[in-house]
Order: sequence, then C-alpha cells, then structure tokens
Amino acid sequence: MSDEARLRLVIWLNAAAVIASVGLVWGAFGIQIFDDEAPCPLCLLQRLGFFAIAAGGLMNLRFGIRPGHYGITLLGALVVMAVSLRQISLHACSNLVDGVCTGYGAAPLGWHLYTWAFVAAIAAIVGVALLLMIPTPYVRPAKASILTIAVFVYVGAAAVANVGATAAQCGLGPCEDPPFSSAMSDPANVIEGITPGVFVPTWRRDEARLRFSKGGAVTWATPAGNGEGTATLTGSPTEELSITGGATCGDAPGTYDVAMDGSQAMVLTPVDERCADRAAALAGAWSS
Amino acid sequence: MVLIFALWVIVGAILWRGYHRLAMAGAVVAMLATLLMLREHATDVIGLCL
Repeated sequence: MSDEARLRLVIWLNAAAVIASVGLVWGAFGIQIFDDEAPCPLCLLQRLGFFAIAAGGLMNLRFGIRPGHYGITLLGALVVMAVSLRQISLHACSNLVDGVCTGYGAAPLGWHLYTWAFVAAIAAIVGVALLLMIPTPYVRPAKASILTIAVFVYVGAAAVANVGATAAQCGLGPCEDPPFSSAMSDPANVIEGITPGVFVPTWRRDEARLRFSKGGAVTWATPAGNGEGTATLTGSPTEELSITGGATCGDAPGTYDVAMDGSQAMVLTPVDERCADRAAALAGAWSS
Repeated sequence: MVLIFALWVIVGAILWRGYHRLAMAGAVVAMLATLLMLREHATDVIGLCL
C-alpha cells in the first residue's frame, strides 16, 4: 500500500471515529428529547469527554495526522472512562427491585448509557493504538475537504444543540442531581394551581425528593412503609424537600398518602410509567 | 456545565480557523474543566481505591 493510500485510509478512519463518538452524543441527546430523559450531571460530563475524543480526530482532519492529536483523543477517552466508571460504581446494585439490579436511566440494547460510554472509551483507546501502528506521512491539508467540512458541521451541530439543551435544563449554574423530568412542567400536570410534585428516587443515597410551589407543612409516607416524616415548606416558588430513606421504584406505580397543612389530603399519583417499566424514574403529580 | 459545552464550541471554531496550538490548548483546558466538575466525587473514588 502506498503512502498516499495509507494516508487516505487513516483520514477516513479518523472521520469515522469522530462520527461514531459524536454519534453516541447524538444518541443520548435523542433519548433526552424523545424519551424525556433529562441527563444527570455525570451523563453530561461523559458527553463532554466524547467531544474531547472527537477533537483529536478533527485536528487530524484539519491539520494533518499527528501523534499529538491522538494524545487529545486518548485524554478524552480517559475522561470518559473516569466519569463512566464512577457512574457504574454508583449504580452497581444500588437499586434492587425484586432482587434485580435496575441501575439508572435508559438501557438501550441491555446496557445503560454509562456502560456503553465506558465500552466506547475502551474502543477509542484500542482504535488509537491501531491507527498509530499505521505508518502515515505528515501532510497538512492545503484546504478543508468536503469530508472535513461535513464532519465539522456534524460535530458543531451536536455541540451547539448540547449548549442549548444544557442551558435550558441547568441554566448557567451546576445541574441538578438527579435531574427533574421536563414532563413536570407540562401544564396538563398542574392541578388547581398546585405545581406538580416530582418524586424522584436517587439510587445513590436512597432518598426521594419532592418539589412543589405551595407552602405549608407536609407529612408523607410511602406505600411500602419504608419511610415517613414531616417537613415544613416556606412557600418559596420552588421548595425542595429531601426525604432520606424514601420510596424506591419498587413502590411504583402506586398511591402515596401525603397530607398538606395537616388536613388537606393529597395523593401522589405517578404520571410517568417509566419507573414501572424499567425503574428509571418515578414522577408524580399532586392531586386532591 | 453549559460553559464547558460552550468552550467546546469555541475550541471547534478555533480549530476550524486553523489555529493549531490554540485549539490544542483549548481542548486540554476543556478536559481539565470537565475533570474539575468531577471533584465532588473525588473523595468517594479515592475511598474506593483505598
């Protein structure tokens, strides 16, 4: 194989690697948009790592094949590995439903997104190792090819889309952990002026959080009887209450006995069936 | 988090304009910022390793 043919092969392989790594970001973004699954902070950090993986490939396309560019990709893969391994360790058997570890979030093709991220990072490292074995002459492209332009547009669109989505979800501050489903802002879930409560178990600390805008005292209990307590809300626009030892997805779907102001009986009714399906999240709306 | 995504958009623009070293430096800074966001988990991770 001639030098030119090898160079062409390596350029195409770099383009494919960039498309694949950012394709994972697009996939997660699709789940976020179409499956209404807001990404957790660690999930967003993994997406950032994939952009770093892609950056090395983009540099190869734009500036020519250089070992330093592969270094950027390797560092990006290590970032993804660090974050995804952290998330795997958080959710490894942290949430047992009927004796089955359910993990966190969607699990396309049987594995959770953070597990796929870890596997993809390993694949990136192996891919870089193989690419480095191909002797490639250094030729800086005089101008960007159609392929390079297309890949840049593809990656740029993903970055801009994630800037918008993350800004909408988190603002400029740190993102909430766990994230709240955007379904809760649906006006259809607002009953008699009461902002829907969001009841999201967090697998890490076995706690549940309720969020609502109406002030008053709340007593709560879970159907499984694994948690109960009281709390006073000050009535600020979004008051947040953390309940340690609260309900888990094992309780869903169900009716939650919650009293507000000590007299007004409230029922927390799950409106999101995802929890029943795969124990990902349980969202609830207040109704009287 | 949104600022780091925005940083990648900037790095991409620098890369496209052809500033090689600046793009490399930007990518490293973006990765360091990403790892910085992981700092709250550092204690647990170190604990797991120990």
